[in-house]
Amino acid sequence: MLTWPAMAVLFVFAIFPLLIMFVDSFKSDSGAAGIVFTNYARFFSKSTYLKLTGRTVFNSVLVTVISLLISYPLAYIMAKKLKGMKNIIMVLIIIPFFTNQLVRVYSWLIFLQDGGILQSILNSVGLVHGSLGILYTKAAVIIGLVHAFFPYMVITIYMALERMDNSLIEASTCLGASTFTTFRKVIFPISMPGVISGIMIVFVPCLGTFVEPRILGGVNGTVIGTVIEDQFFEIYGWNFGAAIAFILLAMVLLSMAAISKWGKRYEE
Amino acid sequence: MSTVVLKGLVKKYGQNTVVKGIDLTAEDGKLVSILGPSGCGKTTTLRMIAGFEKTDGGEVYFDDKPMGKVPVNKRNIGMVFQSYALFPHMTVFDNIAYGLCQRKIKPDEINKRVEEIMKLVHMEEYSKRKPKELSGGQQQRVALARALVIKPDVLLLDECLSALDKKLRVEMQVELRRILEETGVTTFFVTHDQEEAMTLSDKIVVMNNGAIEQVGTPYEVYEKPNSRFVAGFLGKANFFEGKVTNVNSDEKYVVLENEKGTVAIPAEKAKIGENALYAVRPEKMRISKEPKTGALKGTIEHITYSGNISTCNINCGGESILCEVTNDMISERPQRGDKVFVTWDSASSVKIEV
Amino acid sequence: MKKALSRIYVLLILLYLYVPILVLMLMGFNQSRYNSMPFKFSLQWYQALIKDTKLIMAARNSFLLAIVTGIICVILATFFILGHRFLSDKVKGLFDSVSMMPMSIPWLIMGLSLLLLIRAVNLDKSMFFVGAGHVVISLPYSLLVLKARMASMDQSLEEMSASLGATPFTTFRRVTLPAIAPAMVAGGFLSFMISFDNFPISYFLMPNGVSTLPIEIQSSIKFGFTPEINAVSTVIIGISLICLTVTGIIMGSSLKSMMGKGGK
Repeated sequence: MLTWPAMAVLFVFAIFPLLIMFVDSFKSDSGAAGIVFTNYARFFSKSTYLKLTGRTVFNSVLVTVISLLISYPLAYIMAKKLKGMKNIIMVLIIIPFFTNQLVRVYSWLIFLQDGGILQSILNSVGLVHGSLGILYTKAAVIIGLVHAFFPYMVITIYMALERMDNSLIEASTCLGASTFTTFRKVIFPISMPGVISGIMIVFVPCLGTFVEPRILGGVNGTVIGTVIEDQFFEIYGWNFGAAIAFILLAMVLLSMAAISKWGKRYEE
Repeated sequence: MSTVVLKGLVKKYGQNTVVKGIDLTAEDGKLVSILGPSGCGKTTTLRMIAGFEKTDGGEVYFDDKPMGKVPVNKRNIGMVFQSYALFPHMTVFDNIAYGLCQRKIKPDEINKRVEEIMKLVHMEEYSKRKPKELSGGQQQRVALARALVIKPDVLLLDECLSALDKKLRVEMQVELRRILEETGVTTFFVTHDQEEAMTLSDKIVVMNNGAIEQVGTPYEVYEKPNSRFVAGFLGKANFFEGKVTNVNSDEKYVVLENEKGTVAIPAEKAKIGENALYAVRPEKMRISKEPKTGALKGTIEHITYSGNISTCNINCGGESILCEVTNDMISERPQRGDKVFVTWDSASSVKIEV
Repeated sequence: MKKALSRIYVLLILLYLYVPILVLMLMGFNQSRYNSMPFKFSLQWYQALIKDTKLIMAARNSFLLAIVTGIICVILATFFILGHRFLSDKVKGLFDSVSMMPMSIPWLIMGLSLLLLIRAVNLDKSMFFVGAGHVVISLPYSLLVLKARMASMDQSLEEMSASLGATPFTTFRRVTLPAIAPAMVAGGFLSFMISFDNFPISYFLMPNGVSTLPIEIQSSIKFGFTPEINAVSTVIIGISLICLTVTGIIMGSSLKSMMGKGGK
C-alpha cells in the first residue's frame, strides 16, 4: 500500500510516457493515418543516420576507454599508494559531478575557446602559436564527456580495489611474481567487477548525451542525442524523433544488458 | 631447504621499535614456532623473513646468504596467510600452479608437481573448484599446497590455523605435522595459541614486547620457563615469591617471606636471604584431606568441573592457588568449602631467576 | 620516488577536473566582457547580476522547483521504503527495477516522452509537468539514500519496541522515524540538487517565457555570452557545494554506501 504513491507517479510520468513515445514512433509526421513503419525504415535506410549511430557508439567507446585509462591508476593510487589521502581525494573527485552540467560544459567552453585562457597559456609557453582551434571539434566533445563521466568510474574501481585483501598481492609476490605479473594476473582480474560497473556507468549514459556534443562540438558534435533534439525543436518531426529516441533507448538497454551479463562472469 | 638465521633484526615504525634485535636460528628442516601475545612483534618478524617489511637493522640469512637486498619474489619462500589469500578467480589447480608458472617450468612438469602436492594434502578431487566452493579446512590445504609446491627454502605460516574451529584445528595440526615431515621444509610458524605451538614445534620462541623471552623445545619452555612471562603465557602457573628465610634440604621445603606473610612450599635450590620466585604448574599439585608435612593448608573457594579434570581455586592463607586435579575417583570429588592440604613434588617448583 | 609520481598523477587529474571550473569562477571577477586576458578584477558582473530581473526570476524558479521536487521525492520515497519490506520478493524485484529505471534511461528520452504525453493528452506545457518530470528523475536518488539507511538499520529495534507493547504507530513515531530522519533530510537535499541542476527536463517542458538558471546559461551560450553568466555559475556551484556538504554531514558514511555497496 505504502509503495503505491511512488509507483503511481513512476507509472504515470515515466512508464506511460515511454509507451506513448513507442506508439508515436509508428505515426507518420506527414499526417498519414494509422500505423506506419516509415520512421524506422527512414532511419535504417539512410547512411547518414547509420553513420551517426556509429559515431555515437564510437564516441561512447572512446570516452569509456579514456576514462578507464585515467581512472584505474587514480583508483589504484587511492586504494594502495596514498591511503592517507584517499578520503580527501575521494571528496575532491565527487564534488565536480555535483556541479551543474551546464556550468561544467560552459566552463570548458570558455576555457577552450580561441582567445581563452588555455590559448594564452599555451601561446606564452610557446607550444601553440595563434589560435587554438580545439573548440567545436570532436576532441572538445570527448574532453568534456570524459570530464563529466570518469569520476563515476574512479569510484567503482576504487571500491573494488579497496575491498581486495592485500595479502592476495603479497601471496602473489612471494610465489615469485613480479609487480607487473601480480597486477596482470591477480589485481586486475579481481578488480574486474569494479571495472565493468565503471564501464556501464560511463558507456551507457554517454550514448544519450546531447548537451556536451552540441555545445562543445558545434557542427562536428552531431550525435543521436542532438539529432533527436533537432527533430523535436528545429524540424518538428516529433514522430520520427520518437522513433530515433526509441532506437537510442534500445541501444541503451541492450548495452546495459550486455555489460551486466559480462559482469556476471566475474561475480563472486 | 635452508638453515635460516636471524641476526639482530630490528624494526621501527617511526619512534616505535616493534622488534628489538632478534637472534634466532632455524636449523634445516625444523619447525620453529614464534609465540607471543598480539603486538609482540612476531608477525613483523615473520614478514621481515619474507621480505614484506624492510629491516631497520640486522640481517636475515638463508644458508649463510644475506637476504637484505633480495626482493620478496626472488626469495623462494612459501607463505600461508591468516586469510589463506587464495586467488578467488582461479581454480584450485591454477592457485597451486601459480608459483610454478612464475618459475617458467614446463607445463608437463607443472601438472605433475601440482598433482603430487594435491595428493599430499588430500585435495586431488577438488582441482577444478574455485576457493569459495571449499570449506575452511580445504582452503587451508590448498593454501599450504600452493606454498609447498614451489619447494620453498623456508615456509612461513602466519596464524594460519586460527580461523578454523577447534576440532578442525586439531585435525589440521596433525595433518600439518605429517605434511611438513614428508616435505622436510624449514618452517616458521607464528601463533598466539600455545597449545598449537607445543604440538607442532621442534623449537618454540616466546616473544614479548619485540624481544625474545625464551627459546627451547616445547618441553623446555613449558617445564623450565626462564621468566615469569613465559611461565604465565604458556599454560597456567602459580607463583610464589619472597625472601628465603629458611631452607630445609632434607625434607625439601623452602620458607618464603613476603608482605602477605610467610609460606613454606616444597622446593629446592634456594639460599637463605635471597629473593626467590618459584612457578608451579597447577596440574603438578595434589590435594588431600589428610594433613601432610610441608603441605599448604587451605580452603577450596571455587571449583570448575571440566570432565577429565577439575580446577580448584584454593585460598591458602591469603595466597590464591590454582590447582588442577584429575577426576579419577568419583567418590572423592572435592567440594567447595572443603579444607584441604595442597602438596607437590619439590622438583615441580621451577625457580625463576629474578 | 613512486609516491612522488603518484602525487603528481593525482594532481594532474585534479587539475583536469577543476581548472575549467576555477577559470570560470575567476572570470566572474574579470572586467573583460569576452572572458579574455589580461585579468582585471571587478565586481561589476555581480552588481549586474543583482539588477538582472530575468536571472533573478530564473533563480527563483530553479529554487522553488527544486524545493518542491525535493519535498515530494522525500515523501514518496519514505512511503515507498516503509512499504517496501512487506512486499513479496517477486513484487519487490519488479518495484525496485521500476523505481531505479529513471536513472538508467537518458534524461533526453525521459523529457521528450513527457513532451509527447502532454501532446497526447492535448494540454499545454505547464509547471505541473516540469515538476512531474523532475520528481521522476530525482526520486531514485532519494530512494537510494533511504534504502541504504534502512538496510543498515537494525530491524530488531522495531521488533523490540513492538514486544514492549508499543502500537505500530508509536513504534513508527518513536523508533523508525528518528532512525530514518537523517536519511530523509539527506535524500531530500540530494533530490533538490538533482532538480536544481537539471537542464534537459526543464528545457523540454518549460512553458514559454519561464526559465531556470540552467536554461539561462544555455541560452546565453546559444545567443552570445552575457558575462553575468560567469557570476551566476559561481553562485550555482556555491549552492551545490552547500547542498553536498549538508548531505555529506548528515549522512556521513551512507553517502559513500550509496556510491557503491562496498563502502566501509
